[in-house]
Amino acid sequence: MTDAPSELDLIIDRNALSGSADKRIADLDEPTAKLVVVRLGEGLFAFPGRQVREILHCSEVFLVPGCPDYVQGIINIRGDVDSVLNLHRVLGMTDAPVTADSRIVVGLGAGIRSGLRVDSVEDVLDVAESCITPPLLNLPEAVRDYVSGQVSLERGAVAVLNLDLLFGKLLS
Amino acid sequence: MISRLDQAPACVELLLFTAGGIRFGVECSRIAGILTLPEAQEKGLSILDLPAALRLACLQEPVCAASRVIVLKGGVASTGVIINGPDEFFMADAADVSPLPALLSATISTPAIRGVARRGDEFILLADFQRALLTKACA
Repeated sequence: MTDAPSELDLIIDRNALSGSADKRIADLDEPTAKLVVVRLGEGLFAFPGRQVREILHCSEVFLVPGCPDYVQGIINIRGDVDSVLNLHRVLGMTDAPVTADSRIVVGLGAGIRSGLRVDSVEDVLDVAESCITPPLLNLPEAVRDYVSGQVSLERGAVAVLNLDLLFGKLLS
Repeated sequence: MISRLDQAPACVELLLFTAGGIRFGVECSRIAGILTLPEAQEKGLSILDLPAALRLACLQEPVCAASRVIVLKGGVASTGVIINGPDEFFMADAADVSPLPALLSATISTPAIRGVARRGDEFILLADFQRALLTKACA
């Protein structure tokens, strides 16, 4: 015959239940999105992973005269000729020189492919889609047209750029 | 039925020259001849400088001893374009010739640059003077 649970037993059992209620197990079925986080000047931006084909070191970009100033030129990627855009200028930001950390993000959007020069690639991570919230209404006008959402990371708020919107606008 | 694209040649001969530090190529089959400037003037050709021919103001270069006039064929047959130092004939493999990337095609200010030929690490911009001049004439 077992003893009736003591008061301490009850306390322990209750706390065990409430503790496990707080330690919710992550819902593995929650959809996630891969983001490629890049730096432009003081700001952080991200591209949806599904829109990024590859990330390249900055190689020599060949100038093509007669193009808008945000078109940096063309590069040869394994036999394919691709454009490279200066993302600072596309977003109306102060231009920045090419450094050892600079990268060319080759992205897909609006049915086309192009490279985008950024100051650095900071991270590639998976975030729950529920963490991507609508963009702030006070974004600068030059950026607002291309942002589909924002996410808060430890290092700060990150605007998620949509290449369908960005390339689509440049093509129009 | 053989389509027009099936009949595209395996290579194309280009006349290369440099302007503004950029390498250009003109399809040889579209050139009627190459003259010195005095010869072209003597023939009464309508002579354009490169910026006018390409509709690109940034490529102005001074006329010098190495300047030549390439005489165009086709709808602008009495027109010559001054280029500095045409210096090489190059046979470009069709596999190395590409149109301009979509974003450039959509935004470039001139119809005169049709595409790009790759030669090793070098890019050669393919210039089509006839297209630029005939487009301008129709505009």
